[in-house]
Amino acid sequence: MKRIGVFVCWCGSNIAGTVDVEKVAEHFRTYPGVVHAESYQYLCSEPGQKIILNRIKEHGLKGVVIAACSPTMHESTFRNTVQQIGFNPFQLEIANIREQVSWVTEDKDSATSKAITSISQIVEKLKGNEALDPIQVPVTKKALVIGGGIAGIEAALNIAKAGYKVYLVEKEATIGGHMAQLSETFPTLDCSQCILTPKMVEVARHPNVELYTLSKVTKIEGFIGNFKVTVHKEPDYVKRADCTACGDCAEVCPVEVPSEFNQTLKYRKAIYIPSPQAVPTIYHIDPETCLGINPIKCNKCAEACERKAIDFDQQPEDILIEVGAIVVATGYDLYDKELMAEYGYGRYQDVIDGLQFERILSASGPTEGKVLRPSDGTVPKRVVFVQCCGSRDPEHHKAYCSKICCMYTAKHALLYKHKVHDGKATVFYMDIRANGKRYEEFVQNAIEHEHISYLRGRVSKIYQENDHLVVMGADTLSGKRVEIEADLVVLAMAMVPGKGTMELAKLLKVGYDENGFLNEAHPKLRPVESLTGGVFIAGAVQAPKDIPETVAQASGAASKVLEMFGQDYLWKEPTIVDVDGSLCSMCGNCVLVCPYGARSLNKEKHIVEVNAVLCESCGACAAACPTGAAQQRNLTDKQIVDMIEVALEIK
Amino acid sequence: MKVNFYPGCTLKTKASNLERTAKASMAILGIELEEMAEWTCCGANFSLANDNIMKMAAPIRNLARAEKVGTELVTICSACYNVLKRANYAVKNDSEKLEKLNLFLEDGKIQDNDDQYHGKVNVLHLLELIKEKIGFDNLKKYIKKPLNGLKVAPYYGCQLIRPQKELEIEDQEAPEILHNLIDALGGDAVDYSMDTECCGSYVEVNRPKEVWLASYRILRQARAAGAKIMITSCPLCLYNLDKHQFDIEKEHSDFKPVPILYFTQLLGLALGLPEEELELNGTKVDPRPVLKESGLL
Ligand SMILES: Cc1cc2nc3c(=O)[nH]c(=O)nc-3n(C[C@H](O)[C@H](O)[C@H](O)COP(=O)(O)OP(=O)(O)OC[C@H]3O[C@@H](n4cnc5c(N)ncnc54)[C@H](O)[C@@H]3O)c2cc1C
Repeated sequence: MKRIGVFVCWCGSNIAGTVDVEKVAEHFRTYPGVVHAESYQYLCSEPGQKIILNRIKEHGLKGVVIAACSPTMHESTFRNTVQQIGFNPFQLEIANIREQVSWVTEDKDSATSKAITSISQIVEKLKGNEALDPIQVPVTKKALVIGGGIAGIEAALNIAKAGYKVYLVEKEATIGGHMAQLSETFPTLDCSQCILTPKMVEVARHPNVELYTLSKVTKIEGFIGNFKVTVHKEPDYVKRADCTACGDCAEVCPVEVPSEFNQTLKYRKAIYIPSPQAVPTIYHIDPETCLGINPIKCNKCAEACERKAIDFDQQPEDILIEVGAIVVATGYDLYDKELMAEYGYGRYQDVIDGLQFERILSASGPTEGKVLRPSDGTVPKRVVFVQCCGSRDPEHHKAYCSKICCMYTAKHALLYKHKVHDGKATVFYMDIRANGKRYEEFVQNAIEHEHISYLRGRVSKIYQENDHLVVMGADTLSGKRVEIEADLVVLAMAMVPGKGTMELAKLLKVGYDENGFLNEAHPKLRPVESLTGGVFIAGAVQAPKDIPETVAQASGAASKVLEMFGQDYLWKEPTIVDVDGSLCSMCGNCVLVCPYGARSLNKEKHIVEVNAVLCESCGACAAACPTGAAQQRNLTDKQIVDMIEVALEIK
Repeated sequence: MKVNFYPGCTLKTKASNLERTAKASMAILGIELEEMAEWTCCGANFSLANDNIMKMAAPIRNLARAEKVGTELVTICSACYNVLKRANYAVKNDSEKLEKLNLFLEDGKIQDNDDQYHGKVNVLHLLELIKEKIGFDNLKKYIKKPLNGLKVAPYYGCQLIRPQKELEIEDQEAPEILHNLIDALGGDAVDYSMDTECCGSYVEVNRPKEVWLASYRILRQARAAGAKIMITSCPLCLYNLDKHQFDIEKEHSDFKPVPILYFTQLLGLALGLPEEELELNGTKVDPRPVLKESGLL
C-alpha cells in the first residue's frame, strides 16, 4: 500500500479555533495506509514546508495529504515545494478543512469529526492517484488587447516595448477612450490631452503594434497560449495613406449629427474625425448617417477631396489573428441618466452629466473651455453638482460606490471657480471618499480655498423655474430641506461596464459580477487575471477606477502577459479525461458534451481521440460516458466511489 | 363585461361624484363596475412599520372576500389602491405574513363565510383597467366630444404611483398614464415638473399653511406650462389642491386659480355624458367657465 503522510494545518486559529487539530492528527496515525500524521501552525510557511519535505524523506512517503485551506489558495504552493525533491506533485492532495469546515461550523466536536471525514476522503482518493507529468503547451508570443482606452494603450505599449507583437482592437474610430474627453485630471490638474496624446501616437507608431480601429472581436477559439481570434473591421471609407486630415470633406458634408466625442454638445458631420487629436488622424464616414455611401446620392466629400482619398467601395473585413494572450480593457460607460427621471435629464437642457461638463471645461471642447451652459450659451453663475447619481442606491439603482466621483466633482467645482470667479458652486454629497495619494488634500483645498459649499444630503428632484433650475434636496447636517436655484446642474452618474462587455465576456468565457464588471481570478492575489487561462483584465471594465489605478492595473496585466511570453512552453494540468479503448462503444456522447471541442470520433481507427491541450478537465465526458471508458486521471470512478463510501462510513 | 369593484369610503361620501362618473363612463365603454359585496374599510393608510401586520388585516380581509368572486379587483381612489395593492404585494412575497394574517382573519371572523386569503387577487386601478382592457388608442373610438386640444395638467400625487416596486403601475418619477388618457380624449397633456410632487396630504389637519405652499407650487407650475385645468384620481389631492386657491390668489396677485376635476369627469365629458351627470359643482374653483370657454359645455 502507498505510504501516506497527513499534515493538518492550524492556520493560526482559523482552523485550530474550531477543529481539534491534534485529535485529527491522532486519528490518522492509525488510519490504514497512513504512516505519518502531524499538525502544525502554518504549513504554508517556510518552516512548515520544510517539515513536509523532511517527513517525505524520513518516512519514504509516496503520498501527501495537506489538510488546510482551499486548494485554489495553496495547492500549487505545496505541489511546487514537493517537486523540489523529486516528489511527483500529483501525489499531493489538499483536504479543505478551512472554507468547508472550520469557517462554516460552530461546534468544535462536529467540526472535528467533519474534518476527519474530509481528510479520510482525500486519503482514499490519493490511494488511487497515479504519478503524472504536466502537459506541455507551446506559446504563441503575440498578444491581443481589446479596447484602446488608457488601459489598453498602456498594456499594449508595455508588451510591445518588451519586443512582442500586439494587436490593439478598438471599436471607435480613435483610441484614447474616455480619458481623451477629459479636461484636466485630478489630483494634479494636468491636462488630459497633453499627457495622453503622446501615448496614443506612440502606441500607434510602434512597429510591434498593429492597430485596428472601428473593429470588434467576433470569434475566439483555442486556449491559453494558442488563441485564434477573428476581428471584424468596419471600413473607414477613406484611404488611410492618402488622408491628410485637412477637413475639406467635412466642410461640404450636408449631414449634421450630435458629436459622440463631445457628448452631444456639438455637431459633427457624417464624414468626420472624432477630435483633432484622434489616432489614427484620419477622417472616416459614419455609414449610419451618411446619405448612403453612394456617389449617386451624394458625392460632395469625394469631390472636395483633392487627394481622392474617399473610397465608397471599401468593405468590412474579417481578419484572423493568432495570439497567446488577451488583455480585455473595454472600460466603462456612465449609468443611463434617463433612468433617474426625477433629475430631468433630457427634459432640461441645463442638466448635464460629468463627461459633458468635462467637454465644456476642455479647451478643445464645444465652448473652447469657456463655461457656458447648453440652453442659452450664457455663463452659469450658480452651478450645483450632485454626487452619487445612481451609485450607493441598492433600492433603485446600483449598490456600489463609483469611487471616482467625489474626486472629479471636487475637480469640476474647482475648475469652475477658476474660470468663473464670482460663480457659486454647491456640491451635494453623501460622504467624501477621497482615498488616494494627495486626494484628501485636493478636496479640502477645493472646499476651503475655493469656497465651494458642500451640502451633505441627497437630491430628490430637479425642476425648471423660468430661466433657471431648482434643486430640491436635504441638508442632513442642519436637518433641513433645501431648495437651491441653479443655472446649471452637473450629475455625477454611476460608472457601469461599457456596453457590450457582457457579450464579450461570454465570447471569452470570462466571468462577470452582478453589475456586469469582469471578475478577477482572485480579488486580492490575482487582480489582473481572469479565471480563463491566458485572458487578463485591466482598467474600468473590472470596477470603477481612476487613471492612476487603471494604468497600474494595465501594467500589471502586461507583466502577466510577459511572464507567459518569457516561457517557450506552458505547463498544463495533466488531469485530463482519457479513453479506455477496450471499454469504449463509440457512442459519441462524450464528443457531444465536450464544451471545448477536445474530443473527436475517429471512425477509421475506431477510437475517440482526445486533444490533451484542449481538455480543461471539466469531467463532463466522464459523467456522460455510459461504459466507464472515459475516466478522468486521478479522479476515476473508482476513486469517487471510494470517497463516497468512506464519507458514508460504509467502508 | 363585469368587473369586481371596490369603492372605498370616500367614494360613498365626499367623492361620490368620482364613483358615479366612473360608473357612467365605464358603462359607455361596455364595462360594468359591480360593487363587491360586504366590503369594509381598506385600512386607509399602509403602515410603514414592517412588523405591523395587524394593520393589514383590513385590506387582506377585503382581498379574501374578493378572491371568492374572481382574480381581479378594481378600485379608483388612490389611497384604496395604494393600501390594497401594497398589502397584496406584502403577502404575495412573504408566505409567513400571509399565514399570520390568515390566523388573524380566522380569529376575528366578522362573517361566518369569511375565508382565508390565498394571494390570487390582482388589484387594478381603473386607469390600468382602461389601459389594459380597452387601450388608449381604442378609447378614441368612443369619444363623442373630443377635448379640442384643451390643455390639461395630469396630477398623479403619490399614492397612485409610489412605491414603484410594489405598485408597478408606472415609472414613479416619470409617469405617463394620465398623460396618455388626456391625449386619447383629444386634450393636450401639459408637461410640468410638479405632477408627482406632494400635495401636503394630512398635514392639512394641523399645518394648513404647508399645504398652501405645496398647492401653490404645483398649481403655479401647471399654469406656467399652460394648463387650463387639472385632473387627478385622488380625493385627498383634489381636496387639498382645490381648497386654498382663493387664499393663494389673495397673497400672490400673479396667481390664477386652476380648476380640478377627477379624471372620470373629464372622461365622461369626452364620452358625451350630459352635463348634469358630470357633477361639475363639487369644487371651490368652478371648472365650468373654462370648459365653456373651450366650447366643451
Ligand atoms: C466625468 C469624469 C471625470 C473623470 N476625471 C478623472 C480625473 O480627473 N482623473 C482620473 O484619474 N480619472 C478620471 N476619470 C476616470 C477615467 O475616465 C478612467 O479612469 C479611465 O478612462 C479608465 O480607462 P479605461 O481604459 O479602463 O476605460 P475607457 O476610457 O472607457 O476606455 C475603454 C476603451 O475601450 C473601447 N471599447 C469598449 N468596448 C469595446 C469592444 N467591445 N471592442 C473594442 N473596443 C471597445 C472604448 O471605445 C474605449 O476606447 C473621470 C471619469 C469621469 C466619468
